[in-house]
Amino acid sequence: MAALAVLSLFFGLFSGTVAHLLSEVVHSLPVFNSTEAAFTANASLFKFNDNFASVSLPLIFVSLVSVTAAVFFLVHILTKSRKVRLGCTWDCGTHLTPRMEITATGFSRSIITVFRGILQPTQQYQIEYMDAEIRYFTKANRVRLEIKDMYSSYFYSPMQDLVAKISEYVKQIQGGNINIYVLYIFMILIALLLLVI
Amino acid sequence: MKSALIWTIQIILIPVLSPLFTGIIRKIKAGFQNRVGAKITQPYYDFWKLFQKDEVISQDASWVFKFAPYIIFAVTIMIGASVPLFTSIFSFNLLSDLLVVVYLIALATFFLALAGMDVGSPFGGFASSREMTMAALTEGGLISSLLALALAAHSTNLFSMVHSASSLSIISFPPVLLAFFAFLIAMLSETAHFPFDNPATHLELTMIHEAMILEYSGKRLALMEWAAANKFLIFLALGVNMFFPWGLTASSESTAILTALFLFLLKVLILCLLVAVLESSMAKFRFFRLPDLLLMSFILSVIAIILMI
Repeated sequence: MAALAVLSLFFGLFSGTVAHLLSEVVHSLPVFNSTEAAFTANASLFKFNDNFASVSLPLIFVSLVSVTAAVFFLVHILTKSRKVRLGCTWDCGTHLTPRMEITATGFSRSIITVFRGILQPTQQYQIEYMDAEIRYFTKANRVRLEIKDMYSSYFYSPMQDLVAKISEYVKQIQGGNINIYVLYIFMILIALLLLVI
Repeated sequence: MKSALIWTIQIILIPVLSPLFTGIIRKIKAGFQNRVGAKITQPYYDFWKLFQKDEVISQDASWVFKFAPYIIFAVTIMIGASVPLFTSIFSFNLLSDLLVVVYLIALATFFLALAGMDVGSPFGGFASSREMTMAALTEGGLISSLLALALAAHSTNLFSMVHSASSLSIISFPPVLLAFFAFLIAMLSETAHFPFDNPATHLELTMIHEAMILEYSGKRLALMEWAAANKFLIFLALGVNMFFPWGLTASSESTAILTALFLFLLKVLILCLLVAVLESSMAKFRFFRLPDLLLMSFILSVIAIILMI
């Protein structure tokens, strides 16, 4: 995760250099030789040719770091004498345990609920009761949340089905029977003969 | 010398005036609730008081929690210095790009959400989850509403967009109004106002923004609150200057600058009144009804873009 974060920061900051290198590679290909690039990129600036947009990511980074440092030192100088005390996280009168912390499932729950039409989440509850007859006091609860793999169900599966269908159709034509192939050749010869006449 | 002075005003205008507009909103809301309310300068006293106080930081807090207020505040200062306020002299600024401004706002939201989760408080975590959901849904409406103006200007530079919008005829103005309504909805969501969030609430279960900063105290709380006020004024400034782009000056004459400043304050005050009236006349929506409103913002922006093209 940390490596991915560092990589995205690297590609963000040096996107101009990376884009410049890539565009040089593309430009060296004979197909794209005559095509003009839509943007110009160098280490400090990323600019569209018709002046539609320009962005300098190193400038943004340097500005952000310098303004943050300025704010930090200014606040530090002004509030030097204030004390910082360590305390407990606010627990609303109960004892906080790691189980109360938000999880990735909990974090993504609201956006999944908003897009439930597309993501189609499913919930399965399994409840074990203290007494199966009375079914009042629960002994254990088990909740299973599941989300469909969107790419699989909307892209790969339909594609696979289509390929399978086409294969079935092709299989009917190309059945491996030599007599049928001879029939095809015969039919094509007849068709060609009719065409010539 | 003059341009250095104007540059200084541009940088400090947002942080200096933002608490005042928060105070104005609170005063108007108090009026609607038949209360006298605090003075409009009360937020200044509040920030001063918080800067004087000692801090209590959770023992579970990491560097993210400790540094997030500085980063968020710095981002609002950077955006405040880059957006068109009263002058168009600094139009060459590379930071004055629509996408740069929108994603700097997103960067501040990202750090706010991280800070909310950092100490492990369930309330902070849930608020961060809600905030990121809202931010993800708002982004489409926000970018598209401003994109309508960018397409008309053939540039994403905010100053070029202002210049182009100011030269639009009355006939081409309805799409701009549509884009403005879309922007208004996105603005209420981004700045944690009704019907999206209640900025004055202390009821943990309904909070979004306030729950994320629940663990902050002293100077860091002051920075967080001040950054929220800055963000609100930045949105007000974007709203009035991008969609009603009259009054910006290209001159560095003192009279022109003062007139432009006066016009800017007047326009912002009118939009501020509109937000206060909206806040006082509607209830907070249920969380899962908010996407409908944000979808409406996106649809309005798309209609505006189609009409603009």
